[in-house]
Amino acid sequence: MTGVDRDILISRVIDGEATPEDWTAFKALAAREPDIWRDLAEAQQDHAEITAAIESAIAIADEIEAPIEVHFSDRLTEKLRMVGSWGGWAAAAAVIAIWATGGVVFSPGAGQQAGISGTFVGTPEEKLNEYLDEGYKTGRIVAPVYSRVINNIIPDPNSGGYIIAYDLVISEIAIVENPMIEGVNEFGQAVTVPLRPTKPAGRPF
Amino acid sequence: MDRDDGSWMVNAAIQGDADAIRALWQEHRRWVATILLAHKPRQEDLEDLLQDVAMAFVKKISQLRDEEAFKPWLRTVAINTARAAGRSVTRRRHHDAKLRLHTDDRADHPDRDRMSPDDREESRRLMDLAMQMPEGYREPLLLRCIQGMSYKRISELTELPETTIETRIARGRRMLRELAATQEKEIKRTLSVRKP
Repeated sequence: MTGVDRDILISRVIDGEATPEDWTAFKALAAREPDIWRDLAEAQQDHAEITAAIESAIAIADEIEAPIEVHFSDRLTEKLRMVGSWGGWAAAAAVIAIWATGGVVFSPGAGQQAGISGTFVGTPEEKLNEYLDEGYKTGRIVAPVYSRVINNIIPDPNSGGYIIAYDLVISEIAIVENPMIEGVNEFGQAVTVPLRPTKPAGRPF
Repeated sequence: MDRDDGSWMVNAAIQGDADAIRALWQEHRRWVATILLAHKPRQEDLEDLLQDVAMAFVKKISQLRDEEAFKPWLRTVAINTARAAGRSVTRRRHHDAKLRLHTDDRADHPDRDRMSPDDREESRRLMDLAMQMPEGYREPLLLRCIQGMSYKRISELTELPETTIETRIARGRRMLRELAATQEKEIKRTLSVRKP
């Protein structure tokens, strides 16, 4: 038997992979070369010691978890990038908001029956819809209200879903005779200055 | 990979299922750590490298096109991470106290509780010697030390024939014994020279 055969035989015994034929060969070899028992014992001891060292060294692996939050952050970024390529970033944010919240939008028609009386009792969504309906009727609301800019998304350990923090964007108009804004002058003093149009008169939006 | 070997979980992870990604990592992280041990520079911290691999795993699993390639792919990610760490000359040095891969003094580890100080010292010495072996022998030898890592499973990981794995493990053990014998001789010679 060659040296490699002998080593393989010892290895199979150590690893519990020796077949009945391997054991027969091993015993036959041991009858001729009794020192194979010593080699087996030494190799077995080496294996046990190195296994203990490995187990000790890799125990830290049990504490390293996959950073799942990175996965969702990347997916969101990718989705924004894809949509942004055809709609611009603002549109991307809006579309993503719809996607991320399951396609729910506040329809101008919803909640119309409730009216806008001060005694209304209902959910915040119903109240919001009521406000939006009224805003559309009066012309106070000038932009679609489904725009939601996502600030953050994190896993929700309680529900198994996700907590999404977003800004709900509603564009309104107001008619003011002499608009003023507050600011700070070059001396750091609070001042009030007139607010003037940045576009010529005409269709502002 | 056969259907019973978790290929459904690999597929789910590729599709972005968070639970599958988490479970898949938990199932494979111990052998990933062993691959890192086999390939990383001595001074690199295993924990840091494992976190790097976990990050790459999460970020890139969706790019995998064939679930059967999962294990070799993850092994490649681990090896690349270990080698990249080796190439980096600006890595931090402040972990020196815990850098020796087998000097982990985690008191809560059951094997450590069972080992005497002499046994620990011997384990440490053998790991040092194992790190002197060629990578091709070292990796399968270390992987074989993980529970449940058969020749067949190591063969799947490394994409080498099972017979090659078996031969390398057997030869690796022989090399380790010879290295240990040589070291013992040197120690004895050194001690005899010191005697008056």
